[in-house]
Amino acid sequence: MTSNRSFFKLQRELIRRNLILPVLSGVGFFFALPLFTLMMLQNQISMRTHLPESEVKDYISSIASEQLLSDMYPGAKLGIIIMASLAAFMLFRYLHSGKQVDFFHSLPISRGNLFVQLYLTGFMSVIPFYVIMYFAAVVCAVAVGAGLYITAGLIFKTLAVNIVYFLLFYSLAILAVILSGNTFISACIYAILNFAIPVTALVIDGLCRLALDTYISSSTLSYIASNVFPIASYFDNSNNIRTIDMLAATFIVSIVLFVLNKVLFTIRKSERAGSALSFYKTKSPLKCYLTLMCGYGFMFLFMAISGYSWRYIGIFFGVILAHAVFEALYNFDIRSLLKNWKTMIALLVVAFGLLAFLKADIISYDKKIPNEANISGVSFNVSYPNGGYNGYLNTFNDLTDAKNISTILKLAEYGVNNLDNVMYNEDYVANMDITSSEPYNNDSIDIYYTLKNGKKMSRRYYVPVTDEYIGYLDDIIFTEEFVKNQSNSIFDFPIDKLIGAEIDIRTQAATSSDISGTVIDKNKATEIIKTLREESLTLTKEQAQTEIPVLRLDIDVRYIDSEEGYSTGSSIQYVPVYSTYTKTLALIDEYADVTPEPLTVDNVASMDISIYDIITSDKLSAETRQKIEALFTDDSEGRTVHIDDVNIMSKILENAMLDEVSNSTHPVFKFGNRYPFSIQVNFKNNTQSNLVYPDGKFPLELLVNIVLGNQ
Amino acid sequence: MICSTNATKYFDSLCAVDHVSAEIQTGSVFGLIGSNGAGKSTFLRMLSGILKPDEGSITIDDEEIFENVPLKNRCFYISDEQFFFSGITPLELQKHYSLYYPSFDKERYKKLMNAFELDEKRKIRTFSKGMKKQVSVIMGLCSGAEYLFCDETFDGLDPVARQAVKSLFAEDIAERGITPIIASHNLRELEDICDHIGLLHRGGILFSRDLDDMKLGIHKVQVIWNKPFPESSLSGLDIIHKDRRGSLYTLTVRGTRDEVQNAISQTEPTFFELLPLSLEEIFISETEVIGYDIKSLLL
Repeated sequence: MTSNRSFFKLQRELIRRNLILPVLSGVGFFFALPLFTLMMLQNQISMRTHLPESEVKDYISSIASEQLLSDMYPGAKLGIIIMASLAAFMLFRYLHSGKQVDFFHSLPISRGNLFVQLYLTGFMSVIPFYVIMYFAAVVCAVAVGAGLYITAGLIFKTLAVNIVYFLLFYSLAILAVILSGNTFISACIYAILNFAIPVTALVIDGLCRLALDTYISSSTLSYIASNVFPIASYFDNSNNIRTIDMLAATFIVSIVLFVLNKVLFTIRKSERAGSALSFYKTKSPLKCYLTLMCGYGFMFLFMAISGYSWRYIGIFFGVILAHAVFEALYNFDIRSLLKNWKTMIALLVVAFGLLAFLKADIISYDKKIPNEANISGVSFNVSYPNGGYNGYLNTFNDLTDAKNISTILKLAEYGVNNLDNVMYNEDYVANMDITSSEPYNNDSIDIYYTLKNGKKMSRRYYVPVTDEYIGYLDDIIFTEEFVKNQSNSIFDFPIDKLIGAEIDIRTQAATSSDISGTVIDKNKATEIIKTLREESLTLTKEQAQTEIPVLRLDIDVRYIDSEEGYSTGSSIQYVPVYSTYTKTLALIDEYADVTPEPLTVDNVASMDISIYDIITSDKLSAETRQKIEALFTDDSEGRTVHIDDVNIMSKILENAMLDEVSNSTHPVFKFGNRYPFSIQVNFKNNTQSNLVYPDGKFPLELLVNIVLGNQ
Repeated sequence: MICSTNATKYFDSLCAVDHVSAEIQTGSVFGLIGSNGAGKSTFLRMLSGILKPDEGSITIDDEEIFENVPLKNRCFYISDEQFFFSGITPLELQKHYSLYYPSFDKERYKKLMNAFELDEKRKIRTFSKGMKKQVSVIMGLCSGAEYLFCDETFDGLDPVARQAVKSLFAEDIAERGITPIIASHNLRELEDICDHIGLLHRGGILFSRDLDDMKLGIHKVQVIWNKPFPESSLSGLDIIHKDRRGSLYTLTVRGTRDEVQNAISQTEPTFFELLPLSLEEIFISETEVIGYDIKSLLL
């Protein structure tokens, strides 16, 4: 059996003996590829008979190249997964029958050679048929005129992705068959192999989140949960699977699994046919691991259904149920449910103990703050209290300035000093009265440290919003380092790699529906952005607190973000331009012919003043409240006063800004809020917007007089 | 020569074959007998290289059989519970085996298929149990293998087929010097064909010896004395079984014919007669000695 001739003869014979596989592959892929491609494309053509032929061809070509014939087509992927699993189970399932094992293992062929023969039989029973049907689909697409965008690269990439993932699923399924002596248990193991890593990552993450007050979901665990999950990564149509690195990694994993399978197949004892697990030493570890996972899984399930207090009951039922199922499966006897009950109790103790251990925070996880000398960089996520549209603050690079690191550590210390915050209490949060002001007096801040030894560390603190806390935030966010590294800002893209840019400019008088001017020339836009970057660094805290931007910009950029030349887009809205940014204003004037224009009554047709929560408002005297209440006897919410007097409207507009303009103010800008009136402006061009006022500028007296008819 | 040295096989905590040592000479017909669950099939599967001994070794011509492809080329295993591919015919099975056994004798295969009146194009799953056994035996004989490991091969064969298979074995032994190793409960069948017997009991081997030697070394004696049983006079004899019905004693005794005859004569019996033992009687006597007594099972 060593000559090549014999090898191929045996290969042919094994395919013949498992003829169902190539037949299923051929029929399945015929339906999924050429037939479905033809049906889809013909259907699209018949729906577009009214369009010019060239347009139709372009459209169906896009469908063919981006969907049906690409590596994103789910029909082919489903076929690949089904056939890979079926091939593995059909060819290697003989290991589960003593009769068949005796037959195969008595033959003069080494186990290693037999494994290779069976492995290749599966591959040759599926992949050639997939490739043939794929090319048939390509021919069909070209025949109906959908071949405009079909390239050799597209074909190669699609075939490579699907073949590599076939190898991965095929190897995983073979491993599952080898590990057990029973087909049902093999199917369970196959599911476990597919889901074990992501589920474990999620359980660990969930446990830490539950038990450790300041834990932030680990990015590593999140990456594992979403990427080391064969089915998810295969069906994930983002860029991940299309990168060569990812594909190469999948291929290497498949090769490693092939080698592992071959070794296990060779050392697997023939007499293990019919037993639950082929390698007895894996029995206990597998049972313990899966029982614990199941225990915590039930914990999360019970908590999701009935609340936090059901967590221990969830663990109890999960562990007992899983252990009983394992014992019944291991012994193939339903009466063995409570066998090894001592192990079951030990596992219960471990499951409860681990949770209690984490919760007790014996290792002082929550209080741990790294030594300043060991920190190389910091970053944070925080919503600035009442910070408005631009209030979410974080950085795309670590802050490395010693002063910023020191301030972050003060924030961390502030967080540790407030570990008794009510927001850490799960029962309180679960039953929280959302109308209470308590939650809003608290804030959360995520702090990320990069240590000099390369390790990462992160904590999330719930803290009361105090002047001390806001002071620390202000100390950071006006530093040049923070401004230059702030996420979702005009600094958050490589300006020297722009391949396209567009700037929409709006004045204080323009609503979201209006654009005062646009710059679409890349070079001009780049010049404006560069100048704006320079002048942004001059903004002072006092200015940010009180000054309304005279212009606001929406900036769309497209730039090269990888060595392979892939491009990415960014969209940044409500970028403020202050009156002190003279160079930027001059450039905008030059390139877009837009100058700042204040909000005046000229374009306003009318205003509607709506009245809310008069009774509970602390901004009005009791006498005024009663007077206003008396005017509106019905309980409807439509307590609105309509005005169109130019003089009155002009007074109302003093100090006011449009709601959209307020989105461009700095997070530290102080607004006047909690007034019982809202003012809608109806412009002459039929657009509407609401008015917002800086702190202390709200025209309360004027509005009361208007409502009471004194104006 | 097949040599088993302390071959041991465990199934979980159960010791199925317990330190079995035996030698099987090339060209002999080795019968493997034993009580139910004695480990005959397990031992046979170890001999044919399907199972790897947990302890000890199995060698054929001084080479380990397990995972030894050239050696396994000289062996063919006929299972008690045969496996055939779904929908396969004898002709296809012959082609399948020809891929593994390069010296498969296709002409002889055709001849034997005709002789046994088996349709080589009929699906094997439609065959009776005996016909399936015949197909397996034909494949084994035509494979060109020197060692045939037969597990309950005669079970299910009709008397004519059984006789035919025995003749074929005899023919191949004479012409090609093959070595059949036959595990069976049917001791009468083995008695006809085997020249060497191995007796397994509860995983261990009780003995392994030449059938003729075995028969010459154990005798059944029927004796009548007109006095009480002369225990002291017979103390030199190895009496492994004694039974009394009235005044007639039936003894199963180890030793040569002359030794037994002389010892009994000296006790001046009224009547005595030496009878040959069948293989079945030897089996019962030997296993009874170590406690496997059918009578105790019935009581």
